[in-house]
Amino acid sequence: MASASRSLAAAFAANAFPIAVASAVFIIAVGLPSTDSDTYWHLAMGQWMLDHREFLRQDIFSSTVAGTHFGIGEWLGQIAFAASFAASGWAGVAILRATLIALGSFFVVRLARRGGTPWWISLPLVVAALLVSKITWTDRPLLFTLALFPAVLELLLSLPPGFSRRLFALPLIFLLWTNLHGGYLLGLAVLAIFATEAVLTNGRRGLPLLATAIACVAVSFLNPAPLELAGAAREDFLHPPRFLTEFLPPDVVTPAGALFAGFVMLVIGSALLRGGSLREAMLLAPLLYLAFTAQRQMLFFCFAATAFLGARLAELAPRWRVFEIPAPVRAPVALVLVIAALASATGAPVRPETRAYPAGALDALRADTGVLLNEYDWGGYLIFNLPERPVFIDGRYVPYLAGVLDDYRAVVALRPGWRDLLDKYKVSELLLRPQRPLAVALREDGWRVLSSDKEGLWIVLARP
Amino acid sequence: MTGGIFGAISTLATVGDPDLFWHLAQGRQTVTEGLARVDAFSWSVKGLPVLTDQWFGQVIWYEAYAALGWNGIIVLRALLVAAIVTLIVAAALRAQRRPIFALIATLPAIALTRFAWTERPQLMGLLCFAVLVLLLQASAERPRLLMAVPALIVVWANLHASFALGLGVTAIACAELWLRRPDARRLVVGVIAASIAATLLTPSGLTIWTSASGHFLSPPRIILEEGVPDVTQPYGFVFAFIVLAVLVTAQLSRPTVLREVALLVPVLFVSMTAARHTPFFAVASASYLAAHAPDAIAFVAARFRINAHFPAFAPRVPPLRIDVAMAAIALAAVVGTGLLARGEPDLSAYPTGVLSSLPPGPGVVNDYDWGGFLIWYAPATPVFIDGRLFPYTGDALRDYETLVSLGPTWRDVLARRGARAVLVKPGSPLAVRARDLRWSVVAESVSYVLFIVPNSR
Repeated sequence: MASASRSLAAAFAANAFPIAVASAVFIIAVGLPSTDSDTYWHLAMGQWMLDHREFLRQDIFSSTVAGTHFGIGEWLGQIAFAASFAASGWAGVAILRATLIALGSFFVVRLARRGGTPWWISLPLVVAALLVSKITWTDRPLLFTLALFPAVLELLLSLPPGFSRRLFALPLIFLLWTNLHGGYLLGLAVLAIFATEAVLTNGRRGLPLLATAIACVAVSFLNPAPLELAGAAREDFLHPPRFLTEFLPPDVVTPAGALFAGFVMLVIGSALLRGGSLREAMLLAPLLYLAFTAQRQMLFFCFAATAFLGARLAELAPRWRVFEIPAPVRAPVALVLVIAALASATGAPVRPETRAYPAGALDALRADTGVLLNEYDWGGYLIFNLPERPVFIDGRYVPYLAGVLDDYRAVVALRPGWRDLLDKYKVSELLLRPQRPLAVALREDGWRVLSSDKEGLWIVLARP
Repeated sequence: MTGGIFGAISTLATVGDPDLFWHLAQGRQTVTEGLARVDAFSWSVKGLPVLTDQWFGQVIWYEAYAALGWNGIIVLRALLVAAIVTLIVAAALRAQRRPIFALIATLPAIALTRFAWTERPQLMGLLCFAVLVLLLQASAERPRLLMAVPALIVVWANLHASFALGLGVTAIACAELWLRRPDARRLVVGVIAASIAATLLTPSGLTIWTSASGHFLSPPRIILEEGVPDVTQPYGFVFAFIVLAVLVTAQLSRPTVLREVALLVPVLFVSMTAARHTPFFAVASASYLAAHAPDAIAFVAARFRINAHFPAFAPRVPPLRIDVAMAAIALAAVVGTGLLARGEPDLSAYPTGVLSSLPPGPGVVNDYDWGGFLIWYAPATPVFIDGRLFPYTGDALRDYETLVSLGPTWRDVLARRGARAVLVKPGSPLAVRARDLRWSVVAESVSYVLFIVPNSR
């Protein structure tokens, strides 16, 4: 018993810096209210599965694709969020979110500290990488990937050549990840890169990692819809939906984009001066391409870059390398921050931030039962808060690719044939932003304004 | 010779850039009436100040047109392309003595510059940048060559706003030289001071920085080419390929010198700001890839146990008269193909059929993409907006966006502006609404429609 507590204390002391940073990140993340529109439909799906004790395999939320088959690849992630909501309401969601982000931060710090990188180099890198990742701090299964990606990367980078008992952890991680979120495909790609590099560099000693990678691919089929997530991921990669901010290419004149550009310049600049390795090239080049495809992918490059940048930047300033926080200071600071993090959980927000949603329109919408055409961004909110009115479209995106999405975009932008589309879907009410050309045209055509807000965020229109 | 080949290839592309027409109109105005400092082409910002930062480039384009018609434009574009490609290859050959490797390494850069082969002063800016890269490279051994930079900046600042990048890169290169060569510090200070002063030797004075800072610090994202580089588009894919090639080469080849890093890293940032800036990194990195990519390829080949022995021959340098003869042949090929090329612009993207129906005088609200075309082909009908963009920033641009996107106040804007007619694409919300409201159609096709605004004066 005493030996166990001694080893626990030793592990705590050894990881005091990552624990301290993770605790600080937890304190920040747990205080943020829930804002993302996709949270709502993830919660609704999770709740349904918890209530019915079965997988939700078809759409039950929309009027446009009702009954069609719908992917269930993230079922475990959705259930995790729904269970946390059932346990503690929105505070439970915030605590789960903060826990996952803190877990990811812990491993990012460990990545940045590889090779004994001093804190004054690793900490700015970690903070910058986490700020880049902020765009994904939403209450969605994506957070599991935010936590597991650096964890797997750290594990892979710490593996010795040849066999290691730590290899057994990988199939278990991937079994879990594949049911939590589609990001497991990225994990598999990274694992394949490491396995290839291991075989190229170490010959036969790379075979255990190769075998493990094959096992991980095999276990990734142990989910209720093994190929659906791959299809969705392929669609995101090749045809990112640019009308969604998170799928826009990185914009270096925004704060997150500038930080991402900083990582790119640091990686390339330091490699130009100091060189790198085959492993680094094989890992960072595909992740950089992925990051170029969409803003939500930037974090993976930045997380991975911290693993190599820290050591290389330390090389550029060898005289300052010794400037390190003493261990007797690190552990108590970490302990204080852990206690503060635990205490901060009690202050988690108990309600979401709804200023961006048409909360005031719900009462007006309850009175009717016809087909409602709603803003894309508000679909999830309606699914959760107005379940009696099926939505026209929502952030699940993929089920609407067969034509509904194109029709939606055509009708709200007042493209030719918009009246036919309203008739085709038998739309009787609309919940739109008043600036939409469709809202402007219908108001001029005499559609009734059932409700609207003073700030000009939303308007409810009904056929005359 | 490579430059000549690509210059000749560029003549296959027809003329038709939307901005060419207003550049030509401004060039003609400068040549015939002197430099105009206020707008004379629109009715929405008529009399308000306009940028004069590209006056010299516009005059050159116009003189080419005046001399040889549309073939003059093609010849000038081909000469600029040939010069840019020549400079890229020359820079690569300075870094890599094996011509075939140098040529292969420059191909991605040449491919990316293809997206900038437009008939605009912008192409001249890219040429100036290629000259600067070569100058900076050569100045590593002979720092006094930097004294040519202020002269380059003077010309550049009168051609195109991308001179700001040149000044920034020069400053960084000079800072590196300051650290490396204490004996060259007086030269460094002189070059930087003269280069800064050179940017002010334009008709625009200090306002020359308005356009440069606007483009680099706050790119107008509503314009496609000012958008974020998108790797799902062909140009974006080539750009990403070049960035990844530099990344992988840097990882796997021998380290390079600080001078090269000081050039590549800042230019990479600028290239990531907007699609139209991506060729700068391609040009800057070509010589680095030429010098180092073979090492990286050899490293990878060795890991795959592929026996890759690259020939290490140094080609014999031909006599000067051979070089001159080759250059003359290339020049003749570029000019000849340019003169023989189909000169007439490709106007398929423009509302040519509407010209006879356009009402003269102010009052026509036109699509942004067609503003330059109308300035050139329908001078009696001033435009509401065009590709010059910056004069319209503010009320005019806001009103235009309200109209074409059918914002809630679109009727008020029409009335306040006194619009008499609307020339837009048939699929735009304004056109759809106008058709709903049975506005009178004066002319239309699948690509345009001209409405008369009811009850307008």
